[in-house]
Amino acid sequence: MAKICEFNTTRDCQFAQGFDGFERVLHIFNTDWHGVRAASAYAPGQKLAISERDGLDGEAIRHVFGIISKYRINRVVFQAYSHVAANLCESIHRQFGREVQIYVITHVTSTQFENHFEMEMQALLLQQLGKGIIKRLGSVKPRFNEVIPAYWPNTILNFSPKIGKLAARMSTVEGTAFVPIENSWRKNLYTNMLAVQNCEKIASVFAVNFPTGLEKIRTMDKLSLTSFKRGVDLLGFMASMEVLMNVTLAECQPMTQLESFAVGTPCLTAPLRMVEFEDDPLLELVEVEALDSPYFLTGALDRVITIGRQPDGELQEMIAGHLERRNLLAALSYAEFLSL
Amino acid sequence: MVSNLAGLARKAHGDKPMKKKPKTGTKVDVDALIKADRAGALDLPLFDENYYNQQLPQFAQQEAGAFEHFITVGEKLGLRPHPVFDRGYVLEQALEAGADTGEGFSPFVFLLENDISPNRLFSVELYRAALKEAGVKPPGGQAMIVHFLGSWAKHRVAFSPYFDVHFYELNNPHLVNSATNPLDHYFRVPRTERSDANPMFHAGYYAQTYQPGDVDPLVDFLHKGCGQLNLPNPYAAQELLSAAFVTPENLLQYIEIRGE
Repeated sequence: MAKICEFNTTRDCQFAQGFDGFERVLHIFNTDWHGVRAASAYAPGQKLAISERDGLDGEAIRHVFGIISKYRINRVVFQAYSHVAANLCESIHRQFGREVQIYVITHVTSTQFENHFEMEMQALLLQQLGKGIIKRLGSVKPRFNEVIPAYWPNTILNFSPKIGKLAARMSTVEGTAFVPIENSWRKNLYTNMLAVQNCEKIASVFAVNFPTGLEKIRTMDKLSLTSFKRGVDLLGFMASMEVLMNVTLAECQPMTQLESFAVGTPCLTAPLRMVEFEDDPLLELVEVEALDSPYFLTGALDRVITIGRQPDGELQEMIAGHLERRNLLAALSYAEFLSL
Repeated sequence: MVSNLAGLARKAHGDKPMKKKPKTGTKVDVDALIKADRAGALDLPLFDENYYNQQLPQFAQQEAGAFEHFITVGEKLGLRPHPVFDRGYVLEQALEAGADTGEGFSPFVFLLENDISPNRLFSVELYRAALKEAGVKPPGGQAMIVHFLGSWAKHRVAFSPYFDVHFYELNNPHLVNSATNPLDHYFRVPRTERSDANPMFHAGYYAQTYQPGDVDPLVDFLHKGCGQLNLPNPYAAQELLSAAFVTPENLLQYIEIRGE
């Protein structure tokens, strides 16, 4: 049985942004880490999914060498890191030397260091950087060089999926909200659920995880559970919603928000503090300052829905303007990081 | 089916099918070559005396006149003048061209006179085009393979859509910037010890899965494996299915080397 080594699959390419100059860039990411995989899938360049769970054998590593050689790859970008990625990184360096520059983009926040695996990976990255195996470390979390000074000081910006205009708001159902977050302390599911429950403009809420126990203290009559979705199904479902909730306690640049914007649906998040978008009217509208109280989240929901229901299409214009600027800045950030 | 495979193989090889009548090339004066060999002055890169002798039992090895031995005895016994010479492939091309391959027919001479390819990993057309592109005037009165063997190091141009020199040299770093001809090197290394010459073709996987016997796995794939939808690596079906379908043509395109 061949190990997982999926090159340029449809799901990793069909919504990729197209920018010239990225043809010889190969993004390598873990097949099971959905957010990171989405960030990689929407970026321009070639794509390779590997698996921390499955590992890589000699045949798979040989295949990666073949891909790098055939596509004349000169820059490899590991999107997030694992032990399997680290071994592959060393193998690529041994085989290609200076011909192929290796970069790593981390997608964690220091909040996640609670999971010691994340710090273990950072330590490994620093070792490989020190040995000259890795050329540069970058992060999608603003100012991550305050966490680890060896990091590139600028922020790598994530791309949104490239979707045709067809998807825009054709099937939106008024009064619907989608809360696609897992039930963990960091993801703040309960507060998000209470906020939509309290919002009079919302009649139906869809979630992929149940806020266990909440039904004992509150009526959850608006809530329906829906299955975990990805790809076209996910985007189509997001397009049918009036608003998405992703107000979490620690975040980098949530792909959920970018996917939601790409189909014209506003998505609330915590403040992302990106200097590039300090004056962005859309982010100003959808970012919620107080994260641990449903009261503030409901207020933000009300504001977003009110503007969204205006007949002048102001919200859609804000989303379109944001995405255009976002993807251009994302391409520039990648190009600068990779010295393209 | 056989003719389909032959056509595919031709396509794989990158050359157009020969017309029914062979082209009239330079007439090879075999006697003159034998004389030159006897005098120790044979200048024919497609005949490697040491390589030839290695195929003979020690008592029969020729200290002098090895070329004459090859022409008069060795070729009929199926011995090879050079590692890159694939007798079966040359014969196949001769038959397709309608040549009389009866008694007295010499595939070796036919190759020299008709400027055809000695094996499936050398494309006369591609090599000629690559020379032109590099501003080198293709040789007249000399088979391309002879020119290739004699002066590849000077020009280092492409000679096959399926043999990636850069990839091969990655696996054989001692060849980088050396005068060694990579195709020559490839066929001199024992089959089971050869490095892969094509990024997308995993010879070890192919040999283990399809058991091509003594035939080089990549040659076997180009000859008939792709026609039988044998896969060049364990990921090919998955990668082709996400872009197109697994057909012989797509398999060939899949392993074709991309330009810069």
